[in-house]
Formats: sequence, structure tokens, C-alpha cells
Amino acid sequence: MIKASNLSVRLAGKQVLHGVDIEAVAGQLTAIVGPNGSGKTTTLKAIAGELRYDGTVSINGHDIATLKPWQLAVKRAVLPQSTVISFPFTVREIVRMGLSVGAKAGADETDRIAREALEAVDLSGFAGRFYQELSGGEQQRVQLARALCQIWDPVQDGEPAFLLLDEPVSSLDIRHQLTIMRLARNFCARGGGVIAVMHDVNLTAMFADRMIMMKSGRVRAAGHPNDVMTDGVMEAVFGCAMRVNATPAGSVPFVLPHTAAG
Amino acid sequence: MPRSEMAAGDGQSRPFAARLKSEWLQGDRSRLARLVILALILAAAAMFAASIMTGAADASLGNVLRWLFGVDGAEQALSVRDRIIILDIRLPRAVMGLLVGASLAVSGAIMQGLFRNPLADPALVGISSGASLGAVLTIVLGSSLFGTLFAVFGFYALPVAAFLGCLVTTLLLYRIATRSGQTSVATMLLAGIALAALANAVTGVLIFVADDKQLRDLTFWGLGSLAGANWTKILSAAPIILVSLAVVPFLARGLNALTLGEAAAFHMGIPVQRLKNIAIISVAALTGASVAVSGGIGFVGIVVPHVLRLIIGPDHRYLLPASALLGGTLLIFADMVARTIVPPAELPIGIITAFVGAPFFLWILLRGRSHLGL
Repeated sequence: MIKASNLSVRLAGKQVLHGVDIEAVAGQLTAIVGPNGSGKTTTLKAIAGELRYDGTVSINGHDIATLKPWQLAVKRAVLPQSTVISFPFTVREIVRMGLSVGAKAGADETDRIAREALEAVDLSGFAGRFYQELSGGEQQRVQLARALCQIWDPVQDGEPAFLLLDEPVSSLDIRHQLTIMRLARNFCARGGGVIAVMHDVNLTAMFADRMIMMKSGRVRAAGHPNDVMTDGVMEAVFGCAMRVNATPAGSVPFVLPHTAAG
Repeated sequence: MPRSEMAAGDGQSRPFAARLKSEWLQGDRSRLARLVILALILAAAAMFAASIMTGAADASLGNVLRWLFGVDGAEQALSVRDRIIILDIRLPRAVMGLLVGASLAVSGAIMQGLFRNPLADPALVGISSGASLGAVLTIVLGSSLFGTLFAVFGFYALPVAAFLGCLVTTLLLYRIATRSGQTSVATMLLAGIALAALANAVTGVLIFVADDKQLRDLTFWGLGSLAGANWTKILSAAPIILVSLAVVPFLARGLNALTLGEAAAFHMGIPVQRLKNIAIISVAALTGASVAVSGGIGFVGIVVPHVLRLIIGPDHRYLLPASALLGGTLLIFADMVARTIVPPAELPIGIITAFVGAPFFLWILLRGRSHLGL
């Protein structure tokens, strides 16, 4: 379980998070949603351990402040919003960088994992391409494959590992949005946990087990999408009039703005 | 044609080449890199031998080897004069070329990895000037101000001072050019110019106050040349260089991860701050020791890693050792050119590396302008 308690972050002198409490359990896809500037990415970065914060963050009961970077790296992997690289690495070389963290497996084994990770993000046949020549969406998926390699077994030494995804589908087409969200679900089904910062509320409602609504650096609502996505909450968080409906099957909520006019 | 389709070409006749090609098409350049490193080891050995044989005195490789390994009758084949020339002039020069070339190329490769930019180079961003300042300080104020330095470090005082000068400049540069994990190339190059100008100004003042003997030392030292190579200098710099080069392989995985950014490197388990500290200290030690014994020799650090990246890719596990080998080989070659092109005079080697390196630098600039962030 990842647990953040009373998380506060200041960036460039400005208070960005005000005492955020978040829990994410293994086996579940936890999504953080909210308007631009609500503190979603900052929350994820604090949980990843890359930001200075007040409060506590723990993974499976270990306070992350007491863990070394290489100890953290086998407990969680992170997909940033976008990654610009400075040298012409091939896709295969990038993906294998994730593998060198654990580095227990032999050469054949690492080859197999790297190949399967690329298959999982629908990039088979891209191994020999240069990363810098790929489209933004393809680069995003290469990075996800790299992160997946890092915690290839969702349960390591009896502890669940966590994928922290910052807008994993923001630059993807619909088919690949579904591919990646299913991949995240699959990771949870195999015993791992996922925290994903999401923009598309409807896609989130389809896949998330838990939804955390943030606004202005605070958690406004948290729970199952069916409970959290109500007209009142949506309007309060996003600041525009919306109507929550349900898909024809009746189980998944979705929202549409009232009108196109401002 | 997509690269994956090209993989299915001929190659049954040349299975090894075909295997290499198919691996390359799969994005795996590790076997190629190991082959290149092997070839570079041979090239370095050949260049080393050629350097010992090249020059005014005639000494064939066979005679030299027979003499070195104590074969009977070899004593007569080599005159005493030739033996002295080889042992005390050419050999130290070749050893120093190898050490300095390796240091400069590896410093360049580390700097580029650290700054995440192929244009970083010790000479370009002013840290060589910092090393020079440290060295000039010891030469001019050595006896008065740096008495303790000499007392403690003995004949290591010069490389140690150059190292300190280098370290201060590198740290300053990194502080100025890097903000929250992102390095601005423009800031880095401009700050480098300013730091170099400042260091050069202080050096100028020191030259102004130097006495005649010190001036001679300074001029001799500042030319950027291997001409002054002798075993004493090698003994003062080699331990620093060899220890630093031994540390460098441990930076490789971290520098690879750093290519994706500081945050990503941290996510992947790299202790980023420690990596940066060790990288900066290594660069300072390598550049400082090189500058202390050979003056400022530019562009090796930028040309060598760049050429290698085009062939074996940017993986630092291979790039760093390959840079050391190619840097050493090229500098020995440049030194051979320097001492044979205008006999009996000798060209400072820095001039040769600049003649090759400066146009090369411009070529990199023009070719990669779009994705260098300029």
C-alpha cells in the first residue's frame, strides 16, 4: 500500500499542496483527477520521492524518506509526462535501462522481458528505431515499457510493486489509450498497484477502482467512480456545469458539459 | 525501407557480419561496441609502437623490442644514443600522449553525459582555464603562498593545484548552468566563456608579476604540448589519472539513466547527487592532471566521444572505455604529426587538435542545431 499523510509541498515559494491524504492499495487502479494546476502531478512527484515535502509517504509500510534510491526503484516505477533524451539511444537500449535496476536476470531473460514489455505497449518491431525519431505517443509508450521492466514482477519478495503514471494516455489515440489502461488493470490484477494522474474523466471512470478528485492542492472527494462522480462534485471541482449520466450498460458513469457555449 | 525489412538480407555467406547487422537492426549495438573496443586496443598499441619508432633517430621496432626484452645481440643493433632517445624521450612522450588523450576524451564524455549535451567539453566551457589558473598560481606564487601545498604534495603540487582550479570552475559552472535538474546549453556555454575570461585575467595578472625564471616555466608549460614529457611529470600525473579512470566505469549506468533526465534517473534507482559529485570530481581530476602536465589541449573531449557515439551509440558502458582508447590513440598521432610536420621545429599539439577539432565542432553545431536546444 502507498500511503501519503498530510502531504504539503511548496514550489518556488508557493504552497501547491495543502495537507493531502492519499491511499492506494495493491490490486487497485487509483486515479487522481482534477483541473489543471490542482496539484495532481505534484502529488505524484512527492509520492515518487523526487520532491521535498512535509508529511509522510510510505510504501508497504516503509517510509520512503528512509529508503535509498535503489531500494525505492524495486518498489515503484514512474512514468513522467514526457521524456526528452539528449543522445541517440535506440528503443531497445532505453527499455533495457529499466532492466538494469534489478539486474538479477540473465541475458536471455532480460531480452525476453524487454521484448514482452514492448509487446505490452504495442511497440513490437520498434526495438531498432531511434527514440528521438518516434512520435510523442510512441515515446510515451517506450517509457512505459521501460518503467514496466523496472518492476516486471508486480509482486517482489512478497511485497506489491507500484506503477506511478503521470498522464499515461494524454498523447495517445483511442486504441492505445485502451491498450495502456488495460495494461494498468492487468498489472493490478497480478497483484501490483497503480496510481495514475488522469485528465479524461470518462476513461478514468471505465478503468479506475478508486478516484481521487483534487482541486487547488486539496483532495475534494475520494472513492469509487460511481460514488464520486456526481453532478455536484464534478461542477465544484471542474468549475463548469456538467451532467453525469451512465453508459447504456448502466454501470459506468460518464459526464458531458451542458452546452458548448461559455 | 524500414530497418526491420532490411534485416532479412543476405548474410548466410558471412554469418558473423549478418548477426552483427541483425542485432544492430534490433537496436542492440553491444556486440558491435565490444568489437570496436577490441579494435581500438589494437589501434592504440600500434600507434604507441609507431610513435616510439618515428623521429629523427633510426630505430626499427624489431631492434627496440629485442632490446627491451633483453634478446642477445640487440645491444649492438641500437646505439646508446638511440636507446636514450627511445627510453627518455619517445617512450615518456607516448605514455603521456596516451594518458592525456584518454583523460581529455573521457572528461569530455562524462561532461556531456552530466550536462546532457554533446557540446560540453572541458576546454570549451572554461574548466581547462580553471585548471591553468591553479597551475599558474603554483608556479608563480608557489614558494610563498603555496609553501604548505608543496610541503604536503611534493611534486604532485602542480597537478593537485590544477585539479582544485578545475573543481572550483566545474562546480561554479554546474551551479550556474543547471536549474532544477535542467541544463541550459546557452547558459552553460556563455558562463563557460565568462569563467574562462575571469580565470585567464587572473592568470594574466600572475604572468605580469612573474619573474624571468617563472615566465620561462609558464611559457614552456602553457604551449599545450607533449614536448616536455618526462618520467617525473608522468609520475606526478599518472596516479591521479589512473585512479580516476578506474572510477569512471562505475559512472556508466548512472550517466545512461541521466540521459532521460535527473528525475527519471532517480526513479530508476540512481543516487543522482552522488553520481554528479563523483562525475564532477573525476572530470576535475582528469582535466586538472592533464592540463598540469601538457597545458591546454582542446577539442579532444568533444571530437572523440561524438565520433564514437555515431558508431557504437551513446551507451556509456562502452562509450567511456572506447573514448579513453581513441583519445589516447589520436593524441599520440597528433603528437607524431606535431613533431614531424615542420622538422626540425615542432608545432604545439594544441594547434593541431584545434585545426581538426574546431571545424568538427562547427559541423556538429550546424548538423544538430535543431535538437541541441540552441
